[in-house]
Amino acid sequence: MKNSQICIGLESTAHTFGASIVDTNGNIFSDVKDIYKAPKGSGIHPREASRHHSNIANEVIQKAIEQAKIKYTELDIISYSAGPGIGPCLRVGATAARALSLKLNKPLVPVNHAIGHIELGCLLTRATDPVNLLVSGGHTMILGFNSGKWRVFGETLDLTIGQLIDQIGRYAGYSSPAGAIIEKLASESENFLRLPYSVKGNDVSFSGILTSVKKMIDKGEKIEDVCFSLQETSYAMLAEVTERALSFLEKKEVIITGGVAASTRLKEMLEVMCKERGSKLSVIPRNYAGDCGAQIAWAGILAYNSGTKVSVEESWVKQSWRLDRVDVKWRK
Amino acid sequence: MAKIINIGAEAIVSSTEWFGKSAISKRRDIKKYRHQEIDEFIRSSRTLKEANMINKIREKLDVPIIYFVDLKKSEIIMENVDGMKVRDVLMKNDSNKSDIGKKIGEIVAVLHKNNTIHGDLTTSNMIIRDNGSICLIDFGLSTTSRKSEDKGVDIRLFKGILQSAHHDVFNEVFNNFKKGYESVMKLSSEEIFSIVKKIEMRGRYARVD
Repeated sequence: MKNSQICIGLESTAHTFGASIVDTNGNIFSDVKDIYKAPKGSGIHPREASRHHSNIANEVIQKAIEQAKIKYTELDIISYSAGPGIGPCLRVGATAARALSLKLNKPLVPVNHAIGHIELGCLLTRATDPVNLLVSGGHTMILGFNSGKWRVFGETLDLTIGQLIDQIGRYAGYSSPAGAIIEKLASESENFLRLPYSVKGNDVSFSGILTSVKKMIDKGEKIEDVCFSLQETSYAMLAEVTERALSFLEKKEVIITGGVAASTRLKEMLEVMCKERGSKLSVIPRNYAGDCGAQIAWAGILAYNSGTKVSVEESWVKQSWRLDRVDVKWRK
Repeated sequence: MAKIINIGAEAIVSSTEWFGKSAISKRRDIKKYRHQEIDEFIRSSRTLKEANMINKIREKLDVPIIYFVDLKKSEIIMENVDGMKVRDVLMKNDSNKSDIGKKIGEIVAVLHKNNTIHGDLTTSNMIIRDNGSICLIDFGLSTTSRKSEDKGVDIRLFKGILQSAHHDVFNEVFNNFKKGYESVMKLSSEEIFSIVKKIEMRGRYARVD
């Protein structure tokens, strides 16, 4: 007799197709992914990415099952990322999830991808009531939980931090995602070049930095200096708006989630900021920072246990599905 | 002795005296997390901006009186405004939310009529004095602009904080804010509120109802 339920989570919002097996106690038994690699200098092509996902979906799911050492029939819940994301990519994950749900006759649960980032972060770091800095290619938001929803206290007014970094990376001739190479180049310089610092209340704007950095690259400024200044400026903006949310909400805990949480320099800055305020910083572990099935499986469990499920006929994906629209019934 | 009243996101506020009068000191201390060059620029430019803007608008609006500015220390000595933050008042059950919303609308409209953009219209930057007047503080992010777009950004920020922190009273406060704002701005308010909608639509994955 087992006292926990097992959920498979399928992630397919953007470049990653992932599958993960998690149980209701929060044990992650497997987390397998395969990432679509865009050609050098270009971004995600929706059709190409979705083709990649359809080609490897079967294999990734199979591996997740094998690594978890379970049989398909042991699955209790099927969850999938229903948005926000790239339409053709989302549909691949949803189609696979529908097939599993029909074949196994198990409930189907649509999950908001961003909620997955946050809740997996809270599970893995044991953060309870944090200000959440969600930084990735799709999101740049400062969030806090308040009366039933994760509410947006600040966000980007234009590009996300991930887009900024990747677009600059591509402009300089590197392939996306470019966070790691930009961080490496930045660590080789200490020469600061002034870039537009744009904090508007609790919000940030990165478009000015993108334009200025492109000009700097055209002018032939050293790429190490450019990357250093890019990180120093954009991360300081993020640290400032996070501190604003901490101060306004009078909270004592910060968690960084999303792919850019893998950045060492961002973590360093927030650590100093939190220490000066007497707050605690948690960062989602690097291997779970980027898009992965585990975030969908865990958020799927939370949603299912508070009554969320959908029939195969009525199941859906939504390219635009803001996380502050999701009723978070599992949090008080 | 100076007593720290509040450690804000940007500055440390402590009580002090200015020629025998009770006053507060607002000091933008060094933030070690950011590059020195960014840090110096932010601290000095915002301190200067705050003092200048308050002096510019003081005849038109209730703002704190400034006694002294020390740019080297990024410190402003100003009037100690007695009262409660709008943030805390809106969280209480017995307060008159529609009246507060309307007053804030009128205040923001006076600012915008004078082409002043506050830049940080959050409810913790508004203090209700004992006589009921609402004092607007923290002009560090303010700018001067005639553009409706900038005025729209200002209002969107206020709307955003109502939606996130004061969700339960959002409709009551914001509808009355609109009324107050329109009563002062007249015709141009329509254009500005339509820009607010447009700015919201630009948000990531936004779908504005």
